Order: sequence, then C-alpha cells, then structure tokens
Amino acid sequence: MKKLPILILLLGCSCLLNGQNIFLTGLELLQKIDENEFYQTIEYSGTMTIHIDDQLRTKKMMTQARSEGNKALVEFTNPEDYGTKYLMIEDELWIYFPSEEEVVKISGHMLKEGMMGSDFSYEDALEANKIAEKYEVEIAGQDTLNGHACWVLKLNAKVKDVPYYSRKMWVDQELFIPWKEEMYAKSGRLLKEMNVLEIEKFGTRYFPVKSEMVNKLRKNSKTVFELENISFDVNLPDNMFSLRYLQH
Amino acid sequence: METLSKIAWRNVRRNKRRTFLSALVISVGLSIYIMMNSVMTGMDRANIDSLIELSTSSIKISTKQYAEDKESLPLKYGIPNPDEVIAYIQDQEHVVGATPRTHFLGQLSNWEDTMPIIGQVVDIEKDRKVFNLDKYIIGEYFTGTEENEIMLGKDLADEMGVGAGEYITLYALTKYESRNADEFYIVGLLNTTDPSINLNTALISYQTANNFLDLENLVTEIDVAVDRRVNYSQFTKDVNELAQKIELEFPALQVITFEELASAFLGITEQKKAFGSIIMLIILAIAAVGIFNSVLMSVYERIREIGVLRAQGLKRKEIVTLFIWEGFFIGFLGSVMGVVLGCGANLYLVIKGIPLDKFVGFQNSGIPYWGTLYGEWNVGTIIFAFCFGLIVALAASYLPSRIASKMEVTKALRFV
Repeated sequence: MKKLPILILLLGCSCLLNGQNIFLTGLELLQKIDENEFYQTIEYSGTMTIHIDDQLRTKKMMTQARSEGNKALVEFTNPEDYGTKYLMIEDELWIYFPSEEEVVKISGHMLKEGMMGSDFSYEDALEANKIAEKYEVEIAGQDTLNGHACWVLKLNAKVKDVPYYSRKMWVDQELFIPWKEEMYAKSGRLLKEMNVLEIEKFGTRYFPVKSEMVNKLRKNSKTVFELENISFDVNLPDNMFSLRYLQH
Repeated sequence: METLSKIAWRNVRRNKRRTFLSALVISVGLSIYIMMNSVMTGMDRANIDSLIELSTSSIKISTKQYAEDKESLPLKYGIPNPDEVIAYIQDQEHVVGATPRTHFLGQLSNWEDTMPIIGQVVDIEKDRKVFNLDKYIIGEYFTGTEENEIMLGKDLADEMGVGAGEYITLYALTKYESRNADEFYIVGLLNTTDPSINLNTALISYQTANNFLDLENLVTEIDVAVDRRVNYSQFTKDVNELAQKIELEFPALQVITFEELASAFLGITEQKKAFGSIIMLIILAIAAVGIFNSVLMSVYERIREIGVLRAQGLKRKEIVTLFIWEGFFIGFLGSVMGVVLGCGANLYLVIKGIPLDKFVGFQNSGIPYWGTLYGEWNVGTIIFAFCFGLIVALAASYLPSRIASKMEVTKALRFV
C-alpha cells in the first residue's frame, strides 16, 4: 500500500470511483483512499498560511515529489525563508539553511514540532503509509459533511509507537477523499483536526487543493495549505532527491 | 630586652584608657573583617546549597547514552535497575536520600495558548528527601489521591493564568513517541530561587506518568543527597568519595557530581570571590588605618617621654624596641579581643543566621537565595586577622618611634 507524506497528500490525489461500496470494510476503504492517492510524481507550488490569533504568516514553496521511495524536495520562496530547502526520504528529513550553507538532519522529538512554525508537524508531513499496519480500522457510521455523504472511519492504535493514539476520518463515499480527519491523544482528547476545503478535478482524479490543519490545543491556531500549478507524473531527475542536490 | 619588655608591659597597664582604646580600634576592625568574610563565604555556600537542593542534587546518575543526548531529554535511555542502584546508595555513609527522576519535554495549554515546559517525573516520597522543595511551595505537595496531579513553576502558572487548585492541560510525547494531552489538577506552585524552575518546570508523579507517558516506571536519572557539612571541603570530599564508589559498583552508569554539573556556575562564584576579596581588602585597609592612627597617636603623645628616656641614657635602638614591645602588647590584646568578638558574632551567624525573608521585598531583590543566610567558619581568615592586627600594630609603633628617637633630646623634651 502506498501513501505519500500528508503534506503531499494534503495536496493529495484521488480518482473517481463511483462504484457501490456499501459492503467495503474499514480496511478496504483505507486501501481505496491509498489507491486514489497514488501517483508517480507530482510538482506544485504551495502557499502555507499560518494563523495564530490575529497574526498571519505566509510561507510559499515549490515542491517536487516522487511516490517511489516517498521522496520530496521542498524549496521555500517567500522572502523570509528564501532558499531554505527540505529533503524528505522515507521517514527522514534534512533541512538546508542558505544563510549558514548548512544541512541539518531533523530527528527524534524535533519531528513532532510544527514545520516552519505551522500546525503541520514534520512527522505529519513525513508520515509514511503505515496506517493500516498500526491501526485497527472500523466503520463507525455514516455522516454528511458539506453536502458529501461520508463513511466515518475510526482508527484505534494497535501498537504504542503511533503519532496519534486514535483518529477519525470522514471519507467521501463516492470520491474516497478524506474530507476531514480528527487526531486524538491517548487520553481521548482531540489534538488536531484536518479539513479539506477545496478539491479540483485533474483528468479523472479529484485532488484536494486547499486544506487546513487546526491545532486544538491553542485557540485560533490553524494552518491553511493551498496548491497551485499542479502537474502529475512529470519527469523528475533521479539526483534531485539527494543531499548533494539539496546543497546545490 | 627583658627589662624593656617589662617596662613596655608596665606602660601598657599604666595607661589603661589609651591601651583599651587602641586595642578596641584593632578589635573592631578585625571582628568586622571576620564577620564580613563569614557572611560572604556564607552567601557563596547558600548559592551552592540552593543549586543542590533545587536542581543538581549532590550526585546525578544516568546511563552514558542519556548523558550524551540529555539536551533532548529522551525517554529511551532508562537506568536498567534503578531500585538496585538506589538501595546500594542508601546503604552508603553520609547519604541522606536517593530518588529517581525522569525528565520529558512537553507543552502546557489553557486552550487559549501553549507554553513549552520541561517536565520532571518524581517519586512522591523519595524526592522530598533529596530536593528541598517544600519551603518553596504555594499550595500543596502531591497528595497522591487525585489521578492527575501537577505542580508548576509560579511564573509559568502566571503566564498561563492559572493557580493552585485549578486545572491545566499538559501535552507531551509518551515513551513510545505518541502524542498525549490530558487535564491536570494543579496541587501547588513552585516559587523558588531558580528562575528556570519558576518559568518552565512542571512536576508530575510516577503514578501519573506511568499512565500519561506510558512510562512503565522508566527512570532516566537518580539524584543523591549527601549530608550537608558545615565544612565545604569536607562536603565535597564526601560527595566525590561516594561518586567514586557508585562508579566502581555500577561502571555502566554515568555518575556526575554537582561540581561537574555546575562548573560554569561555580566558576562565576569563584569570580565573585575575587570581587569579594577586593571588598575585604578595603575593609582591611580601613582597619589598618584605624590601628595605625591609634598606635601612632599613642607614640606621638609620648615624644616628650622619649626625650626624657633619651636624657636618662637610653639608646635610640632601645627606645624603638621599647615602643615595638608596647605595640606588640597592644596589637596582641586588640587581636585577641578582635578574634573573640568576631568569633562570638560569627557563632551567632553560623547558628542563627540572618533571616533574609524578614526583610521586606527581599524575595524580589534578585538575590538567589531566600530564608536564612548562615555564616561560615573560616579558620584561615581568623588566623590571618590575628596576625594582621599584630603586624599592623608593630609597624605603627616602629615608624613613629624611630622618627621620635632620632629627634634631638632638647627638641623632644620641648615637643608639644
């Protein structure tokens, strides 16, 4: 099963599956989502708007990603972070800081911190698709979200080393897009909420182009992620996802 | 020589008032020096005591991997056999207590804002024997009755707008790096002399952490309290000896004494000592001027007497020797009085101390210790003060008597 980092996934992908799915199990629904999200490569320019109270901070970036090996290269283009680059390979992350001309590997608890001060953690962005391996999935019911009929999936951790102890997903019954996801702590408290705000059709697939991550530990704290100029299955050179290229 | 010393002693006894005043000046100068030295040494010791009882303890033990990576406070390098280590330590000489602690990173949330914290998991019973937090608590210590109890630094609580008896949400990663957040009841606040504790520390018990952090009694650190000795050198000797013993018994563990942990802080204390020496030098200089002046005056008052002695056939050298003897007796008397007076006052400082908390506004003065400031015995200082009084009195008698003895007898006899 293949799933790209959520950051990329936010941008996600989906294809139309209009078949009847009333008899699908929770696990099969997850597989459907994964199938819809699959692509070889993707390229887009993104804008991350961080809302904290009344303050707004905007980060702009160019992203190239390859599904094989869960690889992504992100280069920030907004003036404050201009030239800062992220290289993600599987569940590892390196950051290049142009002012210091230095590459720093991010590991351990730092991966749980907010990326560039946003509500998306590095781990959220890096989370490889191990959901089905690490969670018990059950269909908890049906719901209608913004006019879309959704399956409500409940995911409870089977193991202890999971970023969130449990999750709840609202999955479009026709498009197999998770419109909403709630992430819960072990105590049962809601930590984060992700909402897909806009989707666009690319050929036969529907793809989320605007999403938000709401931090439930802070009042008025959320990050909105928007994508533009999306191209699928573009030709990306092999050496693009290397430390040498990162310092290029 | 014997005759001269007898005459000098008779002169000293005969002029009781002058002798007493000269000796008094010496004794006051020296006793102030002894007390100031005691208070300044006491301040340094209070700083170190504060550091030990709040942060470093006397000895800190962890695994070597944890020590290398301690900046990130990882929850993966637990001490494999903490109970065995603690039991061994508690059987050793001079040990007051040993307690496990586990540090973690987290955030506090009041659902409006978040603040980063350094969390410390404590053993409710054992911790109190090692860390002296009780005197800094506003509210209560852990009761163990509530499931989720927390203690916060006072400044941290103020930032979050909460107080003792209220609830706050703590967010942290479990031992398995899964996110967790839950509501905690604030039993008490810590208003200590260490700003870092006040501003970013949260304490929870192992009972709570085993559930909240999936801790499974993981211990990343063992803290040891060694019996406080009045003599600081003896205290550090006890600490170092115990650290060596623990290292020999558990070679896989990292054993660090407070001196190693707080080397930067102790370095600053040394620098402060150098500054303190300047102050002491000024005190000594003032004392010296007082002593000099007092003895000098007593010699000048007696220049006519010197003329008489010279007229009676006493040699210049003998006159100088006579006055040196007098200076010696006065200096000795003054030094003995100074040491007795200084030691007496110091005894009070060592036993009773200065109750700093009774001074209004002291807690906000920025001075890093509260409560009572105790004096310290310093034998070297007392011996030095005694010798100093004697030498200055001798010098003060030698110079003017030498000048006076060189005067013409007729001039000396007419000297007013």
